[in-house]
Amino acid sequence: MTPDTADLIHRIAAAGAPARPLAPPWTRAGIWCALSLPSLWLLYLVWPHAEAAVLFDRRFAIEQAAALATGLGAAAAAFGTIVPGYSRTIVLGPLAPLAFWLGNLGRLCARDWSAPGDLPPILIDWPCFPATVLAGIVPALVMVVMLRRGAPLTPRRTTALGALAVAGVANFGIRFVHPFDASFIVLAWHVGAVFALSAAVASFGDRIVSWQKAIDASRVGA
Amino acid sequence: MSTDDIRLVELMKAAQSGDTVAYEQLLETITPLLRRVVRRRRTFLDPDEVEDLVQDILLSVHAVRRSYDPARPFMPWLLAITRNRMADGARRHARTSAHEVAVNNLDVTFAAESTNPLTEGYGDPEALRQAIETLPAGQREAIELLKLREMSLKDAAATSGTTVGALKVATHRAMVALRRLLVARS
Repeated sequence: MTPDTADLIHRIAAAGAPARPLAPPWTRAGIWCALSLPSLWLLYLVWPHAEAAVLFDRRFAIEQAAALATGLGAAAAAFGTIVPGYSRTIVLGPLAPLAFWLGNLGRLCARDWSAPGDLPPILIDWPCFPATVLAGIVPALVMVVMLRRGAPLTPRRTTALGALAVAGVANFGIRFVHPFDASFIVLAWHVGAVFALSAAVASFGDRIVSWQKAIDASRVGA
Repeated sequence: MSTDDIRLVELMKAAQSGDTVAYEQLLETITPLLRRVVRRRRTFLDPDEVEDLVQDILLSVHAVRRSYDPARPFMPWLLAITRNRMADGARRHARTSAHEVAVNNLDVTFAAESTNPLTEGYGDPEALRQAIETLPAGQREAIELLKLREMSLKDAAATSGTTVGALKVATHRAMVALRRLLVARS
């Protein structure tokens, strides 16, 4: 062993404070969700919203379940990608609920489109986009903190999945405030926000999670 | 799980609970393995670069040690980090190589005498030494490690017990201060 490496090992070992192992990805996804939902509940309380009766509508419940499942699946996938050696198949987790969510919205969109009468103007609902982004602030911050505790093996994929999780859960929250939106407006503004956020965040994912940040934070110096 | 892996799992468990002796033993055990893997898969690297990469992997292992789940085998976890850091190293190597041109050491580039001074660097080493002495301790240490001893940022950070970012800032501030002092003196 060269003297430099031996010295480094000694320094690393000396800096080896107790480090509690991370919980499994699905457990962490649950924790993230539990930490994020109170902020959405707060948003629901302070934002003007519809009567609670609409929340029991079947179509609304299915859509919400799919959005939440997409968020949870994407969160578990994001947390799985920061565990070295963890099965990569976990990234497929959010695909089924995402496909179901988009498929359901697409079907309803087509139905709205072919219905007689005028469609509501789409631009009038542009505030749905910033509202979805606003709802995502706390979940996004919690997500970044939690992602930085793992290994940045695939920064862009990890942050894209994290952003998808945030967007899914933010959509879940914001739909309680805007439950009456027509499906194509939901698709355009709410789901549009999902993909815009995911793409934007993934494009600078290596600045959010990186080996250099992880090593600097470990206080040994590199 | 093999016997070796079971031993590594035990050492890693102890390391995660704060046992520095077990941690050092673990790192000493895995270092030759890492060196072998890097040498075998990165035949184009020279020995110094291999050692740099091994050290990089050790720092990475330390940085993300909480991502190891003691219920799972140790080697797949370690090798996933190793592969990832080797890929980063290869990208870095390719980037550096693309901007480097191998040339012989040419002492003279132009025939004119004025372009070939006999000495290089700052003209008054004593004034420079005195100026360095006046720097705050952190900046002085950064200059000594990086400029006088010509250590890499990684090694200098490890020696001084600080981070690469902090060293860069200290060096930048020290250079600004030195420039100001030496200009004022001359």
